[in-house]
Amino acid sequence: MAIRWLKTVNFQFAALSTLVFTVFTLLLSAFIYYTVSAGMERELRDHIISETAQLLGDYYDSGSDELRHDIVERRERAPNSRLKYTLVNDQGVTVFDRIELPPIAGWSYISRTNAPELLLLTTPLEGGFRLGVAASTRGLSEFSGAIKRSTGLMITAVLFFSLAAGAILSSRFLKQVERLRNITEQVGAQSLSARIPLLGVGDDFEQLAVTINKMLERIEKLVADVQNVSVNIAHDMRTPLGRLRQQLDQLEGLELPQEANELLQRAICTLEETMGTFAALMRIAEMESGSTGIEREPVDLSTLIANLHETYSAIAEDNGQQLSCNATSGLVVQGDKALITQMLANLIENAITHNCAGVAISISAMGQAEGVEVVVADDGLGISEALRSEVLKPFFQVDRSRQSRGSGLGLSLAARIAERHGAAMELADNAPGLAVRILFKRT
Amino acid sequence: MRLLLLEDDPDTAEYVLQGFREDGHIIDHASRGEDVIMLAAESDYDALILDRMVPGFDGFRVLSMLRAGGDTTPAIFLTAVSNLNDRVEGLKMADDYLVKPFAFAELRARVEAITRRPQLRQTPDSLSVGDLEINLLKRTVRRANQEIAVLPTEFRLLEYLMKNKGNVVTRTMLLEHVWEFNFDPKTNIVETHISRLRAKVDRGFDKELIKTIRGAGYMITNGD
Repeated sequence: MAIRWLKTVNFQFAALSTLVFTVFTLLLSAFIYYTVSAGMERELRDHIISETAQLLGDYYDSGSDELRHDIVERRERAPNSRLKYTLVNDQGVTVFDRIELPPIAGWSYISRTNAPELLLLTTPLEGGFRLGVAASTRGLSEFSGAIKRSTGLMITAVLFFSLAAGAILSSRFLKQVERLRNITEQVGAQSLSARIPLLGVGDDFEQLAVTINKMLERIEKLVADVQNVSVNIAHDMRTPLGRLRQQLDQLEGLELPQEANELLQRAICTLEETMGTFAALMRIAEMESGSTGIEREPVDLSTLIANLHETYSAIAEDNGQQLSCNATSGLVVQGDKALITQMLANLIENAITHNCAGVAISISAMGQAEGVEVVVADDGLGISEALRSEVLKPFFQVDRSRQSRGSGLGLSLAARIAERHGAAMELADNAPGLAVRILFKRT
Repeated sequence: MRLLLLEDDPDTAEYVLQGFREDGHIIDHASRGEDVIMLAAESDYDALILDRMVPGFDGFRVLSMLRAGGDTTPAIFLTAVSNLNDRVEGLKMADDYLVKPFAFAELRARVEAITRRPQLRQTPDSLSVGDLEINLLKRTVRRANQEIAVLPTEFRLLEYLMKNKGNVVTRTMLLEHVWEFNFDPKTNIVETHISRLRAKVDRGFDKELIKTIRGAGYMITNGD
């Protein structure tokens, strides 16, 4: 959760807008800084130039003594004046403010310790004298500091607020997504009657939820309709089939020639097979719809397997096959005993009827870290990997000629019963043969 | 026996009525659930055969009303609906549950089984047929004072046959009670185990006790 909100669209959007805003703030601050500081510097230079011009005017009119007098006067008149004056003679002796003048005339910056830089204009005089007029750039550096501070503050504030807003929005978003996800998962886990609770805020999510709820309602109705149809089909098919059974039955009571009697017995067998297929199909539909809840009782799997082993050993023996059993005692799983019995019986019968004589079939069950695993395996022909997922579909038979008995519903029904128990059923290569594994997960 | 049938399909009703009448039983017929309640109040029936889905009060509702009124007449549901919940719910109230289509022999065997049930309430320690005796506590089988070793499934099969001695038990009754299978297996498990049981219990003795009743099922009896 702590990391997940960072990945939400909301948070990414917040982060992007923060970035854009920061860049713009920086550009704007830079623009303001350069325009204002250039103006301030120009003003400073103009001031120095006009001062130098006045001093030079006096110097050219009345000579160096007047220049000195002038400078003294100016310093006394405004002792806190921003301007500093330096006069250097040809021996390098400095008079007035002690500023080291550069050898070249013109503008230069003089850095000082513990004070802002000086902007200096050096002018050559006669006889190797040089005049320097300098002004402190304090105003400029103060301005630059102020700009930096305010920009920094602004960006920090923007970052903080947009991150906070992003986090709040994202977690709200996630909460909503979580709600949607929970419901859709519930629906996936076969409770079609679940609905997303509405908070009445009318936001995008609520509208989405309303749409999903409508969709669920429709699905639920469709599923119910399908179920009604299958119940009605069951009823409508069973009644005439029932009559057919009754008529055949009544026929059986009559004195019939031998040949007719044999045909009659075959007709009864065919009808019973049809009914078996029909019952298996109905059960598959029942398992798939998830409409009927299944029992969740502790089932003694070890005893159940031992009984099935005893029951089917006789059948396998008559078929010239061998059925062995290796189940740990005391294995208990939660589920519907009748359905688990049918599932395992189907798997064992599948192994018996789809293999020839001489094949060894084994049933094993043991407790594992993840739950209880049951394996029904044989060393017969097996099923190629490509067909393994196919055989779980109803009516699929590996042998297309359908010479072997059975409707091809056994594995498919077993898979659905496993699914309803939250158990994973997989078909694996037993090298040689087929191994069907069912893992009842620990709950 | 005096029986009552609730069934709205005329053909099925006729088939059932005719079958029981030929057997010499008295059977009344109702095609609406409401009529069953009236009839059951007037006469004392040995068993009720109720269709699950009929117009008006359905079989389920009728039986729950009768049971609420203290009527304990054995009952069997006939139904075209074979889903699990329906079966579980049905068996909570009725004594048996039969899915359509059914053969009359199946219904007859089941009706006979439920009407016999009360006599078996006091579970005996042992059951016998002729010189064959089984001990339900020790799970042992003896015939003509000779111990016979049987497998647990064979014992349960023999026990069920002997509890219904002299009466027919059908293949599906055996599947439901001995194997607890409420589906039709693809293999002949009943036939196979009956023949193995016969080999142990009947072979080598002068009289065959386990009989095959053609078109109906099996019966254990000392008679002929």
